[in-house]
Amino acid sequence: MEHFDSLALRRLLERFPSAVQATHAAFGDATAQVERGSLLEIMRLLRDEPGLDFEMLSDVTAVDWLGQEPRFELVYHLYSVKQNHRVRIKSRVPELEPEIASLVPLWPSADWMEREVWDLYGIRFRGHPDLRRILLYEEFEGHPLRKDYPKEKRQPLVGPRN
Amino acid sequence: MAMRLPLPGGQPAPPLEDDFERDLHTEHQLLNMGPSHPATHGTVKFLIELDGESIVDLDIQVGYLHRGFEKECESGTWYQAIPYTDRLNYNSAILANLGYVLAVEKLLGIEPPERCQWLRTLGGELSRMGDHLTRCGAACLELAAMTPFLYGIEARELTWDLQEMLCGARVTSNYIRIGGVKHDLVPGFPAKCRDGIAKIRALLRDFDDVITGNRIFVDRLKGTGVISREDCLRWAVTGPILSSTSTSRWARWATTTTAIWCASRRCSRACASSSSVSRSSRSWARAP
Repeated sequence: MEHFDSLALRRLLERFPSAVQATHAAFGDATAQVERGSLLEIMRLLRDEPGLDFEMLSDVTAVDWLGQEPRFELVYHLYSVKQNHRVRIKSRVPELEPEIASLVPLWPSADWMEREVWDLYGIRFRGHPDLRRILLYEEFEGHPLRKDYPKEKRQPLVGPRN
Repeated sequence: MAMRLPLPGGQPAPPLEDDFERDLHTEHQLLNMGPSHPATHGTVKFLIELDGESIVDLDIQVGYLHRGFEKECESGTWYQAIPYTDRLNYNSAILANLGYVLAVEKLLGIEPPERCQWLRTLGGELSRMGDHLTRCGAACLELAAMTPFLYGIEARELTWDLQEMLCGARVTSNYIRIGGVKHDLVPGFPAKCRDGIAKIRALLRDFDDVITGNRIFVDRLKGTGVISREDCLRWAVTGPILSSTSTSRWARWATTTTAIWCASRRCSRACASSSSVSRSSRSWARAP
């Protein structure tokens, strides 16, 4: 696997040769796909290693690759203000056990973003202090950004009245 | 201390302080604020736990305005997603258009012609100015200062007049297209723009006179809502708030990752290249 001149990818390949499953740098954005069991250690290295200094977790989102296995892909965007560089980390989770370690212990900004991913994709975050729905109401059934959730489906909390 | 009469039977009365403290049961109060509250600019609900006048816990419920744009975009074309971006922030719709379109262009490997990039920069700057004018005015309104709000809104209206000339809409611009913009400037735009900017500058001077250095304004805001640089980074706070925690010019630039800056950087690169003339002579705009 190649590091594409990215310091972050080079360090990851040195330290976690087995956990990093693939790398690419399409359109100039360094990206690593990692094994989900090692996510927390990998993120801790990216945050704490001198020279990498990813102090900021900018974004957490997910992709539903319906029909593929593992079905879901978590996407994390990290940014270092100090070094002015970025890296994107991806990790796959299977449909039957959609769960991954929470990053709230490392970056508190993960809190609401992980709640959003849970709400809309139904992926659970192990170790999250308060994993509730954030945009939808508690009684909502299903996770609407999954590709098999029909766009036309409506489930209003209060039904239509005459 | 007030004179206390002896109790029946001649027992001495207990001290006054004990009367107040005995059986005084207090508990935290739960207060529902919103989801449609006049003090919030939009729908958001705060579940506030109060100890007297201090907030000890706060749960913010933000979903009331969730419109499901991502889900709608799933079934549309890339082109059809642009009007949704108008509605992400009604104060700076062109910038939201631009952010989305730059991402699509990056994926497709499209570089729009030079004139288009300048038009985007122009539209984006109008959008940005309008946004700041509204927000700064509204921030004063929260402090019960009506006058600067009206100055800000008057200036914002001038930027919206120019946006209307640019794309036919004051708020939901739908101006930027993948690979270009909707159409070229209408005749008379440059003169109107210079005139508008001069008026905005005058209004800004009034705004500055009445707010910056105003004793009430400074007293109410100084030391309020202070956030450290470390907390900004841990909570992924960017933009002017992160810049405010550093005096380093470099740090400010490093966090200025706005699309408009990218556009102008790409623009200057396009200007530097000799082929820019031939590129800009190609079709760069869709028919209105």
